Amino acid sequence: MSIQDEWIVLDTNIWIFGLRRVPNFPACAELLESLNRLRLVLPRQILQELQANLVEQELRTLFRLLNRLPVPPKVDWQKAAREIIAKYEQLGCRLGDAVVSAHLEELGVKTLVTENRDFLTELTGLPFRTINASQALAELTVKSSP
Amino acid sequence: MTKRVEELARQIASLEKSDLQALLDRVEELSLCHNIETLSDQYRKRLAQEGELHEEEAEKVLLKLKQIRQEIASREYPG
Repeated sequence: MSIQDEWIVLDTNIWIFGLRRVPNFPACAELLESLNRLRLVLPRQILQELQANLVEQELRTLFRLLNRLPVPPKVDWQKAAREIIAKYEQLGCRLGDAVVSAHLEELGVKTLVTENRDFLTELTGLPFRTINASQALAELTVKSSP
Repeated sequence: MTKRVEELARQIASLEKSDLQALLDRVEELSLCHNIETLSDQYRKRLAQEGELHEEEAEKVLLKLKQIRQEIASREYPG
């Protein structure tokens, strides 16, 4: 499985670390520069978190460039189903992470790229895999090597 | 159109099809990088003006993002 062959979700921390250019997470900025090689899904929770972090002008700029990608992102404003959220809370997710997990399941997305350690190390039994930005870049590199 | 652009356009138009496609793809890539960089500059400038750009504090940013996530989820899915 490679992120070049599937629809993926970038967690909010990837977007924000990338745009902030957080020194400890350089792969996030690098991944944002490779958006044209990705197929992105933006679920409601992530969209709302981006709205909470960016001002209107910044959001407009972001969506203008996203809409120019070779494969425009799938934007999904549907709320997640209560019963699926509850299932993830029972697995140990906090409410917010449970909502993101429910979105992934409902949208059939099999990969979440995140720097959230709760997702990366503490949860098991998720129907999708979690990788960090460095791992995502590594998959892109393997794929594009001759 | 300047003379230089006209000359460049002629050179590009004379490229072989595969080179032309590679060139257009590369221009798209560079354009994306430039646009992301511009957005990042705007965002970082605003954060700096607001005193919120603490580059060494990734953990604090992560914590804030988690708080925002919880607040939004609690509002959207009360009870």
